[in-house]
Amino acid sequence: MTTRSVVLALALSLLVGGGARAASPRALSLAGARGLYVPDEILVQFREGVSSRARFAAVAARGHELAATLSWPSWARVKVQPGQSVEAAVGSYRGDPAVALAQPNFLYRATTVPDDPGYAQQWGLKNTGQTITADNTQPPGSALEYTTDNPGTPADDLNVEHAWDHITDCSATVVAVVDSGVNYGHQDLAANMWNGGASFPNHGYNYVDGNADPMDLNGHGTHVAGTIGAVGNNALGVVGVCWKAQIMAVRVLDATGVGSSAQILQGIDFAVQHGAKVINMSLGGNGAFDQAYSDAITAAQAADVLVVVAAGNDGVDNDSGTAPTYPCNFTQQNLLCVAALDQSYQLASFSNWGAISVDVGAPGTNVLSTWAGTSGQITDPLNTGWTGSTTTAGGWTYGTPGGTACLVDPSSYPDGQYAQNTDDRAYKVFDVSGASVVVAEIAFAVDVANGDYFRGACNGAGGDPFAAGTTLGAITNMATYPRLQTANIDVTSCASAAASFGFQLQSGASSARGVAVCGLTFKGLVTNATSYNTIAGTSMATPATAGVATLLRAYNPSYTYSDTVTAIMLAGRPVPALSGKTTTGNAVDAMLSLAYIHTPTGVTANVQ
Amino acid sequence: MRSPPLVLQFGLALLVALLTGCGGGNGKGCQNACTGGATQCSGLQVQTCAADSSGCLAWSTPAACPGTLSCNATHGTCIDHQVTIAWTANHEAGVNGAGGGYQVSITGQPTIDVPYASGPSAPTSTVAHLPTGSYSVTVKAYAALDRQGGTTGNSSAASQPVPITVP
Repeated sequence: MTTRSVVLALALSLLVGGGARAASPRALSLAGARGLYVPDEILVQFREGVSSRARFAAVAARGHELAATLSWPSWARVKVQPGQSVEAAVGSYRGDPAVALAQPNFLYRATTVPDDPGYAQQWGLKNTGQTITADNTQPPGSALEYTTDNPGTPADDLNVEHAWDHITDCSATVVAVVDSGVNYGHQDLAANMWNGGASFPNHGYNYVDGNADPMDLNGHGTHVAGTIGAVGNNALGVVGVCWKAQIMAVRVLDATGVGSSAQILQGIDFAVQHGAKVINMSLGGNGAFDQAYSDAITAAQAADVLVVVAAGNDGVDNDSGTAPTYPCNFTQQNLLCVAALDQSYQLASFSNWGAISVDVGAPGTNVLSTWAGTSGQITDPLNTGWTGSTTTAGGWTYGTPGGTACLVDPSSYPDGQYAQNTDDRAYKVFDVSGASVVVAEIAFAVDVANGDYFRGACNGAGGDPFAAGTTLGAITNMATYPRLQTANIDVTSCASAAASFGFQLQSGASSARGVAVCGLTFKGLVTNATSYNTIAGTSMATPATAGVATLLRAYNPSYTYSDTVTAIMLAGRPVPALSGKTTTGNAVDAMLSLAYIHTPTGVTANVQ
Repeated sequence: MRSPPLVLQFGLALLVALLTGCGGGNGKGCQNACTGGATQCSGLQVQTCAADSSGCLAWSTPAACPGTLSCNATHGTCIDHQVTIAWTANHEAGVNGAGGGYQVSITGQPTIDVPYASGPSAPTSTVAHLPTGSYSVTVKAYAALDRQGGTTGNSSAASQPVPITVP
């Protein structure tokens, strides 16, 4: 039930009509009211023609006092007897022929709504059934990633507006974003970054490069940070769950969005050692149990730190036994794992789930938030402009295996085999200048024998990058055919207006099916302080939850991680789509969690 | 039914008089049933030994103990059964602030309100005065903030019940 309907019910039950007339429909103008009423006052509407003297007598007869006649003259504000309830005072006028209506003197408060212009698009905070547009996507003009349930269902959201009536400032609780870094200079984040003092002037640490500059060169971490704590009510951009915050930036993912166990566990330790009480980790990976990673989360638990993590974006059951996703599948009590809900609170098609491992759901599609800069990309058609060479015969050619344009070697790929003792090269020149970072996204299928190599290389000066340039990676003794593999490689060191990028297939006395490169996209990011992006993922649902956790710990300074986990899990909103797919079946609900009161424990009774 | 012979009736009357003491003790034809000023319990009420209308010491009509006291059969007198009820503090700011506190429920007794008064936290104990009997105690925490964001109040679930026996 919404606040509005509760107050209306209260108002209608407390309205008393005098004589035979029913309560006036004018009472419905109270719609929008919220909260209580003045404790020692009521409002009385006298019938037309009742004299001032008669009004005074009617009030005095009940031991009340006429405090004021309102500018709407049939109404009077009446002081009730000390100790008398408002309900009793209103009821005392029932049946009085001089009185048309008596009611409480309700109290009203403005609902706290921020003035950030992007708020109308932040359905996760306030779902009005609005259509989320592609006006804020990166690269600019690109389509939304998720089109299902857009628009969605009103009120399927975090229910945070009512919570904002009570707290918007989370700065008492440090929240760490362990991610690709944060653009700490962003106009919607700069004021809400953690104060790291002289040791950490850039508000955190960078475990990718081993320095104190955690600038985000990917965008992901900046998006996460904005969902948690974009500055609220600043008439700019978007608003976070927390309007004021202390966001600690911990960079453990590189520009391609990849990080190692060592980087991540160091990042967790940094956050713990420097006072974070909530850690957001919108990252994950499938694989074997990682003891070091697990130990870092256990250490955070010992320090009373809550770690909020993503369920994963593979659309699978994390509990199936075949696809555990870490850190979601770790079992520490300070770990909260989050699935993604769409705009109608259906489980997002990409979201992982798990009745054992995943705890709650939160908005995770078409999420508008801050971005590290302006993204741009160049996608090569792979059917023109490549320069090839070979030491034997054949070499790289254009092909269409499976109907898709690809660079292939040999030309008979995938039915033939590449030549023995060959050095086949292909390269092309691209203008990838002006970006802060450039990442090459390469999709390929490979089948090369042991000792034969498939390589990539680049050269900012152009020309054959294998003659003079930087090797980007080498693969040998691998067969992924027919599955396409994707590699993201940071090629910023080669970025120029005429940079060459190329592929090489080098063989010895053996042979195999060969290589098909079927996708090549250069993604650039020009960092700035004004960019935003609308994206989808459990990575986006996670900071919505971490933001609520931060809000709760700031509002309740004595809250432990355990208190916070309980308040989020038990006081969530039941959502059918999460039933049987999460441990609680609940979506995160900021207001319900804020109002949650733990059941008292440790009760003793001693008879003397 | 036939009446017993007159001699037998006299003998029975003499026997009753000797057994009850009437005609002895205080010399007013009755005998004291108790020691003056002594007390004993009748259920939860108390009886006091005092002179009755015939001048003999006898147990009074049972009367309620004063105030919160109740009669304890072991001691035979009204005593104060204090029960100290305590619990672990909640961590919610609303419980430990204005409009917050705890409610202690004891079966068959009025609910005890333990409101926040001042300082960093609401009290976490209270003293109840209970008559002899068996009870179950539960505690709820409450705060002004409600689930809709208003201030109409909200409370926790009741704690696990704790049984107590007042002797």
